[in-house]
Amino acid sequence: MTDLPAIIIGIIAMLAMASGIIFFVVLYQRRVIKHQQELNELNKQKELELVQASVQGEEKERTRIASELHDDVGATLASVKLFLNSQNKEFGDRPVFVQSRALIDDTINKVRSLSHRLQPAVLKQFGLDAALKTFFESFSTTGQLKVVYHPAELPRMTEDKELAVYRVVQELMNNSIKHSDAAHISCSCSVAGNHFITSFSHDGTGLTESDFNEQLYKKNAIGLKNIITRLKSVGGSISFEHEAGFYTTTIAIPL
Amino acid sequence: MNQAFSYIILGASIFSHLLPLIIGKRQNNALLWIYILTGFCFELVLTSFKRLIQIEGFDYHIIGNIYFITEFILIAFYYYARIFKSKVVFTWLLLSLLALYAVTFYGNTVVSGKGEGLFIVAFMVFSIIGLYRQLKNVTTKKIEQSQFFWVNTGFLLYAAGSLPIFITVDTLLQINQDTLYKLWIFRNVLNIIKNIIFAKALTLKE
Repeated sequence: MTDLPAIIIGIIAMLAMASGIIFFVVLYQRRVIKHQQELNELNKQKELELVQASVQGEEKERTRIASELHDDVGATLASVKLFLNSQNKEFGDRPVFVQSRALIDDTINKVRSLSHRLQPAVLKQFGLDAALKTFFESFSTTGQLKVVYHPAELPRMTEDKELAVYRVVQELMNNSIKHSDAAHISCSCSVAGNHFITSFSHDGTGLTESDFNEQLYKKNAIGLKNIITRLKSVGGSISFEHEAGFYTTTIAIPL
Repeated sequence: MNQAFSYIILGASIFSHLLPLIIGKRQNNALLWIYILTGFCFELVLTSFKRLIQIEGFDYHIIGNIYFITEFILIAFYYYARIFKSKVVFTWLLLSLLALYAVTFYGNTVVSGKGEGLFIVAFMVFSIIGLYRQLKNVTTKKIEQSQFFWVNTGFLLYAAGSLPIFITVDTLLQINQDTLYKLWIFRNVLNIIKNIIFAKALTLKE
């Protein structure tokens, strides 16, 4: 084969084959990437569904326990109180009755408070601002800790979003009381763009972004994991700041 | 095609090496950059000083054969880290192909076209395996953003296009040198395309 046209045809054929291989590789890889992205998208969707299901399950269980406490335990304690009152009329103000009545009153208050925390009826009826106001008021009465909530005109969000913010604030408050040794705590909510922003600050020992990420992988950081789960279920995010002695945690939820 | 045109293409083919050399200067320790530099030096020497070497009585074809062997060794080592899993297989393949090349040029006074054809087939196989390995590694990065893809493309196009030329070069040298000169223009065009593709490859990180 020494004929020029034949060799040129050979060259063209070989180049066509090489170009074909290259195009195939590029197109095939594009297809693989697309498929991979679809799979990732599907996995994310499934993960979100799982998180939402677990949060809903948890909420249902809380509601059930709250109802049991309120309707069953609360009612039983009220009956015991009535019984004690009737006995008191018969036998006079004996110390045992007075003490028992005081203990039952205290228990009824605790059960009611626990029931309200588990199922914040105010949140459902009056919205997040009212619910947070009620929640923080219960701490401001203790006197040891100065808790300030800055009320604002807030738009109503979907039930799951309001509940997520409420639970995260609850968790942040619990953590502050348990670990921060703070003297001042403040919380405020606002709307920025199409995000609902909640800022929670205290002057104790808090977490920075890196501390939070580090803690998250620890075995017993259930509270922090719950915060992430709650936020994930509504597409929210969390950030941390430490400035002028105050640790501020900011939650952003898309409206 | 007139002689002036073929000289222009020849010059462009030699100096097209400068494009990837300049663009990839920051990667001047990379084997690919060294390979392009070697190609530039050899082609410049072979073309510009061809007559001078012949006058001095030096066998010009030995330089050609040394160039092909050096080119093959550099490319083989470039692919060694990327597609060969076994050191033994690589060594065996390298030595076998070098031995086969030696057989094809031993006793001849011309550059071994068949031997280079053999190397060209090896380059094609290396680049196809390289592309296959890239396909196997599932990544979200587009393949065109990888330097290795462009290197494989450059080698594959150059090798596929020049294979028919190199396997006929020995026969054409003896019976039809005019056809060979015409064909050599194609080889030079392919070399220019290869260098442009390598320049693109060297703009990307390894």
